[in-house]
Amino acid sequence: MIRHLFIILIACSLLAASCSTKIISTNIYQEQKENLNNIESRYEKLNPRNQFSLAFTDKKFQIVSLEMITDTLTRIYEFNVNEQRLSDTLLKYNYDTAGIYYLIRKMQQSKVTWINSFDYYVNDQPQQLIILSLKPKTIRYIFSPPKYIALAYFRTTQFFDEKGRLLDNRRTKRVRKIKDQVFYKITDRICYTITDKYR
Amino acid sequence: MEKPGSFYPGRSTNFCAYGALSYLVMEKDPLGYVKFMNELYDKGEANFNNNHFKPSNAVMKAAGTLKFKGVLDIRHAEQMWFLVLADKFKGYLNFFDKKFDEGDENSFWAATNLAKFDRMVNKMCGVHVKAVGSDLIKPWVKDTYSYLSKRIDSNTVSLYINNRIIHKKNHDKIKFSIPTHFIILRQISKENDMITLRYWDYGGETQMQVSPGTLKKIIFGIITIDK
Repeated sequence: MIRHLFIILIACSLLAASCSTKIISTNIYQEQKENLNNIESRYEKLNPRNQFSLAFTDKKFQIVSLEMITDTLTRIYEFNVNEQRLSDTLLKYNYDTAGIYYLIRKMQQSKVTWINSFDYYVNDQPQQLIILSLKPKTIRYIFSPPKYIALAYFRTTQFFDEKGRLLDNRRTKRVRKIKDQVFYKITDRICYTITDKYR
Repeated sequence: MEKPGSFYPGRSTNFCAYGALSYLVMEKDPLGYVKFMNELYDKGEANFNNNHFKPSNAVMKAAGTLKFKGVLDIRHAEQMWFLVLADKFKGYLNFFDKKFDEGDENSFWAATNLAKFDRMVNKMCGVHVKAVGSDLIKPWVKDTYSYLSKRIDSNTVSLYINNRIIHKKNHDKIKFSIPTHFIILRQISKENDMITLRYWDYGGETQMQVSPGTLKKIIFGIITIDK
């Protein structure tokens, strides 16, 4: 009896290990390049005026979590995109309502689950990058984690090793991890990673 | 020191408990913090409120080298402070990872459970700490909102919460019900059956609205600290 149980346990763990989630399309950035770059550049224009981040917290891309960030306070609200409260809130805090609605629509179309800006430092000088996460079509097995593709848009040229991994700077070979993830080169200033969290 | 509330435990680290502790330390004894950091910098060891700190070599080497953690990157003293606290205080979550290695600021080496947090606050701030709840089972409190609002004016209240519910990171509906984050509750109010929370974490205040049900669901520990 114990032997059978042991064999079943081994079979189950082998099955779970071999059945990781698979992303159907391997070339999402190239397929949606124009839309994704458009979302990033639109966000880059809107964000400095009044900092914010957007995340879709449901699979149908109808519930949006809006973070409105100031120096003293971050306000977090969750809305259905069709709710009047969303535009009321944006108006109340002087956000570009039309611009953010446009961004929301574009994010829905391209299945972008999250967009945010990150600060980081080079030689003690603050720099910014924009991260957006995509929900790709996947084949998912029971117990396997979800998969997202995160794209990091830097403002300046970055350095990569021979494996295409993002490096800390030109002089070191230290791999730079963002949110504990290794990122891989797409272009000189755009890189990607596959992760089980969208933010 | 000009902005004591700006202590930033870093992006993607497990330093949130030490961040909440720093908030309390800065409230109780900011001068003690400065003296401690100076002594630590000069001698490599120091005392804070009768707690002796002598960080390991690995921790001393790592302080100032943490990267891509937001503004913590350029706050080397804060890196030292968080690393020293994590090196000194241990709980059962740190049982299998007691020695610092590179990248451990994101791992179980830096993790904090409820009892460890209570102990740290008690030892570092020298105040009475009363906690309800646990690492796995939520507190037996009938009305969470009333419980919190009764205490917030006369005490400092810290919460041990499951941040994954209010700050979702994936679209799975089934989530492990475990606490992940320590915050300092600053204000709480109720209107039309929606509760507005204002809390401190990550160097600033956050305001959000939750239903009474969600509030009950996210809280695993309520730590009441004497002012």
